Amino acid sequence: MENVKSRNPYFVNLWVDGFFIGFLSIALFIYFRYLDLQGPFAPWQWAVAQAAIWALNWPHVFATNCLLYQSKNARQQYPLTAYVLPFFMIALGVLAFCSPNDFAPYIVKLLILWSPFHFSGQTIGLTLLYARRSGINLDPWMRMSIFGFAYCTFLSQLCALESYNIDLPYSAISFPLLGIPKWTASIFNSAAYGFALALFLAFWQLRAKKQHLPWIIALPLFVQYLWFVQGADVYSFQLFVSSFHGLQYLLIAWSMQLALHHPWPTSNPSLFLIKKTSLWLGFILLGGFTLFYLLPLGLSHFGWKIAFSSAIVFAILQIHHFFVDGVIWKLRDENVSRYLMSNILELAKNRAPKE
Amino acid sequence: MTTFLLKLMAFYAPWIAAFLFAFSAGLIAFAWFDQKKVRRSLLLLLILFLLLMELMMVVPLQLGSFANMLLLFWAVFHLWLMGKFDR
Repeated sequence: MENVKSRNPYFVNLWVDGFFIGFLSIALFIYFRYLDLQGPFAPWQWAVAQAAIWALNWPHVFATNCLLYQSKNARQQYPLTAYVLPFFMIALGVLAFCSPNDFAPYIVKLLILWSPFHFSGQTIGLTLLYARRSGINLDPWMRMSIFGFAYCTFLSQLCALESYNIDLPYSAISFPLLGIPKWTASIFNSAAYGFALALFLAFWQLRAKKQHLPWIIALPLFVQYLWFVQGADVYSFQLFVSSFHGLQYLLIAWSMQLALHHPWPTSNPSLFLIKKTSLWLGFILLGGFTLFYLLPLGLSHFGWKIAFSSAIVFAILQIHHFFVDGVIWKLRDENVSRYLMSNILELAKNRAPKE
Repeated sequence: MTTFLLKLMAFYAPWIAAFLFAFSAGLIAFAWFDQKKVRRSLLLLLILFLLLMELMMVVPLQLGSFANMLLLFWAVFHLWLMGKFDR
């Protein structure tokens, strides 16, 4: 284990980072698990969950597209993602619209498989990022435990779901579950606890060596555990998981967006921060609304039911987002990692992001 | 004509599914070692499309829970593979 130069671990500070990364998830988990007396799926829960999706999940998808398409550098670096992938996704969408009974369910199936895998990827990315920001080089065993824990929690929930042999509705489309053996979920569940124990011991050893370990490093993993293991059967909580994922993402994308504008004007940096943040937020909210609401609404005028067109458009946009996200956030890429090392308060003081 | 084609596909479904599996496995091996970024990325897109076809062919066949378990892990492996897209 080698120490590198210690940095500020937070994008803003403990409370703001904590809120975006996990405090809200934890608070809502406690509420729905222990305090909610109305039972799952009370009308207000549906309404708040839908509002959260509009405000957090849709904009986070649009923010990814902004990051790819606003920079000529990124477009040139990832030409297939930028120029070929949209046509591929449109072709899949057209097939789904033309074949609502035979092909569309499998697009939805792909979305259901890929979403939690994508969330796990973000959990791993955030953990590695906070470790790097804290100046900790993780050894291969710790990295393996982080990857193992995140993927086993996801596989445990996925296998539990796929152990039913029924068709599950997703908006207006039913997609098949696979009816796999129930014991597969238990295996991944046990493996997740094994990896958690290995991580706990590794962190304990670091503490014993007087290594400073900000707890935010473990927060994404803990929240992943709530999403996929402890909260897997808390149905009202599950309505919010995609929004929690979006909330985490927005912190990083916002920070990246502000770092890209460095150096900020020296006079009144707070006003600059508010202006840039408002513009960016307004743009991604509008973009998300256009893609996820107006586009399916427009397609529904061609004879498809809005619930059906929404499901297909949602699946296609999300799968496109999974591809783009897998490409543009490479910590190995120096440009990306440099901007991801920024701290908003330091940027306001016009200090450049550290290498 | 369409009905005839659908009947034909249903009759040959296990063979079509087996062919799709073999073909996608071959393409994965090829993409794995391919040094040309553009060709490799296009191959990965094709492999993803083949996965969708495999799901469409295999799931309605109801080959049993063990076969479906293999299909599920095959699908998750594809998702991991997609992380190699456009690198």
